Amino acid sequence: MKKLMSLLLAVVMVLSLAGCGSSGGDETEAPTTQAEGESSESQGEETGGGESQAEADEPFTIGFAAKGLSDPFTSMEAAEYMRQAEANWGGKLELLQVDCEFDTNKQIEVLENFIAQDVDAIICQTDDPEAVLPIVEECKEKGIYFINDLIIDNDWAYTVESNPQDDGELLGEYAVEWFEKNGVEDPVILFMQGEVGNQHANAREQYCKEVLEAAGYTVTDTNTANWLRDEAIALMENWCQVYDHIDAVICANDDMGLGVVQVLEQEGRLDGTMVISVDALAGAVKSVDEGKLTMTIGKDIVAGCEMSLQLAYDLCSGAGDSAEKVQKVPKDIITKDDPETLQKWIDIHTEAGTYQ
Amino acid sequence: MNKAGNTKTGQKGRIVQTIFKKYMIYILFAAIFIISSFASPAFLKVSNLINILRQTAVYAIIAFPITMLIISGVTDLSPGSVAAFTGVAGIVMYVDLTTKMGMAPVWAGILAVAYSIILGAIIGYVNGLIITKFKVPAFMATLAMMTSIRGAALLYTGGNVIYQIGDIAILGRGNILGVPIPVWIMLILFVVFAVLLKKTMYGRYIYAIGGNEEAAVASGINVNKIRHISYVIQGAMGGLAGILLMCRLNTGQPTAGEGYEFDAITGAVLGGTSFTGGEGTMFGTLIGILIVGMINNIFNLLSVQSYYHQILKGVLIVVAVIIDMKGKNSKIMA
Repeated sequence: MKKLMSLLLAVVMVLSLAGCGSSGGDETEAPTTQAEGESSESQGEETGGGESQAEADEPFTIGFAAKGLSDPFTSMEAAEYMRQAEANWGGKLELLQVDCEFDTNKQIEVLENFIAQDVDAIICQTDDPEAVLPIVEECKEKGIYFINDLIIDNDWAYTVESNPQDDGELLGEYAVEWFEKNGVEDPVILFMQGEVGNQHANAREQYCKEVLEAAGYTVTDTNTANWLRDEAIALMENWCQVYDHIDAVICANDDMGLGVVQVLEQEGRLDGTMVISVDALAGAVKSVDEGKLTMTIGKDIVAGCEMSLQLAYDLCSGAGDSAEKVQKVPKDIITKDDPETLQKWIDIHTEAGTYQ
Repeated sequence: MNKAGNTKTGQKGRIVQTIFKKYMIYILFAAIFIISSFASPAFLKVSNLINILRQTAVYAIIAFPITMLIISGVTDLSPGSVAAFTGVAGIVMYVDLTTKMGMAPVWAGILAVAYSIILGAIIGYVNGLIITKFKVPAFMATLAMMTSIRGAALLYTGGNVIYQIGDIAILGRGNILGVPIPVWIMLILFVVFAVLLKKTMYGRYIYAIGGNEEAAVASGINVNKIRHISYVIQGAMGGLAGILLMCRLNTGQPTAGEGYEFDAITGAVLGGTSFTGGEGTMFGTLIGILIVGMINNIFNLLSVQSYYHQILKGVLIVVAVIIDMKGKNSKIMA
């Protein structure tokens, strides 16, 4: 019986932890009550939803399907959602965050569970826009609003868009501009892919290469480091053995870009080599500031989260009838040559406590 | 007198241990069910309970044959990758048959499902061949297959996702009498595998091989043949799980199915299947898989970080194996 009790206790303990995590954890759920005095003013100013809120007795429940918390960028975005929900929307929106672990099936499970919970709206960092289509249909039937970050072929869905196609095109356009500015002819261009088969990885690669090819440039070599810095280091070390001269390394995310910078620096080949990537992580912004990483693309996370939460509130409170179906999240090109934008991102990360 | 007393106490202890081991899984199931019911008001809703069944169906289809393998003393780490490869292959076939050849969706669907199952069976046959003919340990052989077949799935699709899969998606998302189709398939397979394991000669051989392989050989059982058949069945079920998974995803994803074998093995072991072989039931596996599904579900409903979830799954499987090993050791001591 001792064993039985210890086993049950273990389960109960972990579930209790779960309970703690869900009700009190600032990472997983925004508090529903807040010091009204100081928050109500700022909410009114920031959200413009003061009138509708007066009518609402309880906060609207929003299911937030985070694509994957093991990746620095998506984790940073998820943290910003939770921060804003707590700081700006306490008492109006209750945000339930669940990690989908970069697994489409897991994401569908999470969304199904949100529907079973009768949430008022869902915000989804979508893994695959086609895979969630049946879920969007189900949301439509049940009147649950669906907001996501990729265009979905369904009239019920709202999109606060961060299209990986844009990232790919911006990478390509910047590279072309850099080659022309530096008078580089027949450049040796290496493209480091994210996880092959992943939507974002595929789109960033495809559209970047299309822009390069349209400008008359060809990518010399392409390989994957699966979004990971350790794999990027190994791949770059190998590329350094193969290529005596490298003009540009284009990476599908910052973690890989930083791995590339590290290797090129060790090899004494960073000067004169363009290394560009996507995400604007704190480390990447710092690397740009130090003149190592040439450029990173920053999705304005703060603005994107504001737009999604505002849209969720407007829709739930009935004020969102005229809301745009597709809203674009602004993106920044962060380089040493643009100190204003660079400083903006240093400030973002400093405020978030991630800039060291 | 003292010795007799000790023997009596020892017997009592063993009886308690046996009863505990036999019913542990049901107590655990009931405990998690009750705790979850109190933890979230959404848990007991019919739609949520159907969600749990729907979400566990694919894992269960992999877990049933894996239970037979574990009972016979071996395992398989490749079903997740097999599901990905056979699933996308079946979807590509369906799309080609309906769009390029104009075949009726029903027939194309039947052929696509059959194609996935046959492909899976072939992979299972190769697994079995490597293990029984070349005497490669099952862990290594299936680990190698896991990575090779994942690569094959990516190669087959060029790393791309297959879209516009058509009406076959109904297999993954449709309902019959309000119950999702994958759940019906899971329940039918549960009955089939339960009968196979308990009521046929093949099932009795599985237990005999896992209980004592040398004795099984001595009694004339063709161990290699029985294991080989088990791997073929495992592969075929991987194929069926694969196409159902892709239908559920509404796309053909070569990266899908990663880590599914872990949940399937966890379900089987939680359900009382012994890693040292010779013990286990299909009903236990079904309950074990439902426990894994309930834990997944309640953690979602409570918005708990996946980190806790991963820790708990690891703890559960280790505790289940420790309890099993303790039971085995005490039998040997006795």
